[in-house]
Amino acid sequence: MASVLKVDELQGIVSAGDITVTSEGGSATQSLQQGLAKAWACYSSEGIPVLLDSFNVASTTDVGTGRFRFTFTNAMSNSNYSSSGNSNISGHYLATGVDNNGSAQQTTAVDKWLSRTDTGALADTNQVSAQIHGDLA
Amino acid sequence: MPSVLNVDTIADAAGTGAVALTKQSAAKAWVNFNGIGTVSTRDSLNTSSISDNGTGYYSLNFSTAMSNINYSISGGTNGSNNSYPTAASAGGDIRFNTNTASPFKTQPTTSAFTMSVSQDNALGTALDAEWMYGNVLGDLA
Repeated sequence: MASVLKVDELQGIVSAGDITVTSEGGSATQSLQQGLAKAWACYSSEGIPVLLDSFNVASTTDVGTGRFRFTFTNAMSNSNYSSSGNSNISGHYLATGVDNNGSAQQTTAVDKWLSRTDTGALADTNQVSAQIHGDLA
Repeated sequence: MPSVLNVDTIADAAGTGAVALTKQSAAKAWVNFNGIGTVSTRDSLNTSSISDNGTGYYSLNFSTAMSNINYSISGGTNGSNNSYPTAASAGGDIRFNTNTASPFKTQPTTSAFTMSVSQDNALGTALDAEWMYGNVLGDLA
């Protein structure tokens, strides 16, 4: 019978924010906290913009066609986090990316997330998926 | 009162395998890197190095290998000021070369995968980008 540990919160002993877990194959270990997504969002910008579901996203702002701002509830510790995602709309291939004009990302928000058609035109979409991995403050 | 467990390492009951995180999965690798000039990693998890294979074309190498090649890859970019002088055109298209029909014909392996970036226009011109992001979900070896 599998053992099940029921607990509301996990903390490291040496470092409260660092717990090591064994890999699926059993041959390696890795930081649990480093692998956890620190924010994600599912957002629709067609018509009235709606944040469909999210984690660690306090608010979203429609800043123009195909451009959205995601503000974090809890800030990241630095700008060196990884931002990835995709978007879709019926009948079109859409790409997504982050627009910081070549500057470092903000620790308090992703400003701005883009959604574009396959010809490069900015476009609203019925679903943008965004994920953030990195270090929380 | 919430219960708090203080522990440094978690393994399965046998002590050699992974524990199940109920209905959750952690990323096994992620990276934020500068793809212009000499490629440099700003921050990462389980990424030993990044190889510059040519304009807009990179290999991301794992520190600890994946157990198979059936992992999920995603990423993004915001291009750079050099390539995208106006905010309206900032960004780029990311491609993961996961089949032999891709321009670079490089499939992922358990130790690395490749990604390429091109301009966000119909031409799809390859370019190096200053802000590149990638993450991987799947099973570690």
